[in-house]
Amino acid sequence: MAIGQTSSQFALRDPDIRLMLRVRDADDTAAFAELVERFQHRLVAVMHHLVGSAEEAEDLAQEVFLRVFRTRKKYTPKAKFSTWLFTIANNLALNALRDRQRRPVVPLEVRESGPLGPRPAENLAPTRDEPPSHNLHQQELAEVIRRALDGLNERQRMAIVLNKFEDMNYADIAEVMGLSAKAVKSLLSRARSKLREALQGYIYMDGDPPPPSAEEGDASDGSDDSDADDE
Amino acid sequence: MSNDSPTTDGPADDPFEAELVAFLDGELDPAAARRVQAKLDADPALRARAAELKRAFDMLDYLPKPDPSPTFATRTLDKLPAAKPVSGSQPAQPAAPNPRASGASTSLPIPLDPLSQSAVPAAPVPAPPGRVFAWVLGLVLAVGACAAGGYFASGALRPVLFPPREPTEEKVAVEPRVLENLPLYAVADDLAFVSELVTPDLFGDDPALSADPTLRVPPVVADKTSGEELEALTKAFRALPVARQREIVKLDADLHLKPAAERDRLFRALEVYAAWLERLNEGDRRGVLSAATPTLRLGVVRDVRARQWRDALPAAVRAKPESIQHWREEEAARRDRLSFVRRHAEAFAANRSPWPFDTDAGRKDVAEFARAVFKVDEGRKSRLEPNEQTEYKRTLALGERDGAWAWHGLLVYELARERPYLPEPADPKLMYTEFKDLPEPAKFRKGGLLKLNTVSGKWPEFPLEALQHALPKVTVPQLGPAKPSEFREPARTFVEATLLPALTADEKRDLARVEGKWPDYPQRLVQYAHKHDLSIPGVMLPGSPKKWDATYRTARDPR
Repeated sequence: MAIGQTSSQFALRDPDIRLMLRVRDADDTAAFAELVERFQHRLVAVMHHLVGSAEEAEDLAQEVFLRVFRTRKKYTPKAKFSTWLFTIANNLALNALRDRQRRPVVPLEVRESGPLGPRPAENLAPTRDEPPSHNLHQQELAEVIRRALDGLNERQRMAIVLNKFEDMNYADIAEVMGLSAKAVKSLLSRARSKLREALQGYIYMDGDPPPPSAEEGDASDGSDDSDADDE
Repeated sequence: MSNDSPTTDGPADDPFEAELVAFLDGELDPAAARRVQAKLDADPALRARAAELKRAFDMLDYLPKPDPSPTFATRTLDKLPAAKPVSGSQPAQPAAPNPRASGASTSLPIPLDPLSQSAVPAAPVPAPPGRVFAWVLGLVLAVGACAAGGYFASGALRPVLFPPREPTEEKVAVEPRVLENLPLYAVADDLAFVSELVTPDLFGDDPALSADPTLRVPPVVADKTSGEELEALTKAFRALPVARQREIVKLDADLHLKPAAERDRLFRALEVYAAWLERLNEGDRRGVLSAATPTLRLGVVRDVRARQWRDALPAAVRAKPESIQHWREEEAARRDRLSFVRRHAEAFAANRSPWPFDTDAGRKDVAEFARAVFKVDEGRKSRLEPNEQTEYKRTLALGERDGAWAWHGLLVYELARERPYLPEPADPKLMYTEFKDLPEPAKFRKGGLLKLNTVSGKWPEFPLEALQHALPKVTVPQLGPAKPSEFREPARTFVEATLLPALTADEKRDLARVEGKWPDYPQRLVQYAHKHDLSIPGVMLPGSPKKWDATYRTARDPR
């Protein structure tokens, strides 16, 4: 199959597209292997941040790659290869997260006692009565942040993860998520606000002083900001 | 197709918030950005809100950076539906058979001619292996990729694989087993080198090595080694210098002298190491392979691993060395706990109490020891810190209530290690725990009083600390018992009747040299007791010291 003018232009710029075209046109498994090699870290990381479980993240990432291979014949280079890849990832991850909501998984309980119960030191973690800046270790902080991320709905989480860890701009996120750029702007705004609320008590725990006036101010008039809303 | 009506998200509550976030993300056009900037300049509360939005977002950098498991790519490629292979395609053959599986065969790429850059025979693609073992296949394949990259032929590899040829070359007898494992042996020096690979700071923490020992792995039926493949491996082996051939044969023999479980662990370490090596960039790989000796090579491996660990940290914390050190310590502590649990996995699964808590007498002895040595019931005079006392009571309650004595045992062991005790004096008046009680107090610096106050009431911490504050050039009085006759019972009788007779002549002479010197004499005595697996009552943990070590010692304990 000949590569059209548009495809050629993209392919020239994007070596990943060149590889994908080899997969599409020649069933080239070596080219596919190279794509897996190139994108596995990014894809698994994004999936992990979305679903929170290493095993599930790998399963999902694997399914994304397999879907890329299965649908190779339908591939048409329109944008960066990574955008297409993350579009598939977005669909699969959102389905998985919604599926999980319908059928919640009961986690294996950690016993309070017994030989495998928590170590004494684990019980010395700070309580809610103490300021969060006291004795909070990095691992606990990561758990707090993880919970904050889990507190977002799945679309907000996806937008945040792509924005943060894939460094995607709003236009690319919109392409991946099938939204308008304005909708992404609104989605990210809500997500960032939620994160700020969830992490409020931890934001200035590293010793840096907060700005002089940290309380909420009535700073928005919203009069000319209607384009921030979803359509 | 775009979907602009996300039912669960809706429009932003505060439209300006969206502008603000977009401003922080650099997504506004210049005019909109100027409007937001003007509002920020005029409103401190808004600036604070912007700062919080930014910091909350930055905090995501603290999340661990997840990486795919080493076998991810291999497992993914294994699942590909059949597709027409393309001639001339080099990388990523999806699988190679596991050379260690039953029937041990291999189709690993091994250089037929070590000086040839293109000496990689085509590997037939076997039936897809089970998921559990897929990693093994990937690892072994990695060694092959190493060969394919020309490293076998490179000058960097020569010190490892091709030391200078000896003048007279004789034929080294070689079993098929050696040939089948040749790709793994090729990247190892000797058994000591492989044994180092399983240490936690190298590859001991890799999931492939730290997997649940009770895990039952389904057998993998590998293809038989074809005559052609065996021939290629044989040729590759024969191409090595005789000295290297002997090293490889010896490594194989040494590995197979090990008990099956340990051998398996060492093999897995080799596989993980080989895969890691393959994934390194060329510069690092050359650095590892061209090291002149096994020790230097391990040093390079450690350095590269440490750098990789550091690089994997979020950028925000990478610049904070103290955080990194803190994380390292926490990681080491967690590793210790994990190794402890792993060592006792079977006992935990069966809810069996570990020694010495498996008998009433054992539990009673430990409780008496803790009362006598840690002074757990003496409040402020206790030798334990308040949080340690809390832990002590909690683990004790856990054991008494649920029979879960393992953590209590570990805690007592660690406390005894961190706070070694010494035989108490027979005369309680000579048990100095306050500055005013010290003999000849004028010989001690008053400037050290503050420090001494922190250990006042505690023995032997107080006299040990006092010695640090003795004035220079004065004869320091003896601050504790320094010969058996000065020891309190039952330590005195035990030392005289049991410990001293067990010592060698050299050890007795050594002790005689420090008799009368405190704390040298009792400290040396405790060392020798440990060496001879004897426990001084009222001083050391009750029961065999070696058994305590075997049951509770963790990797970080240097003893």
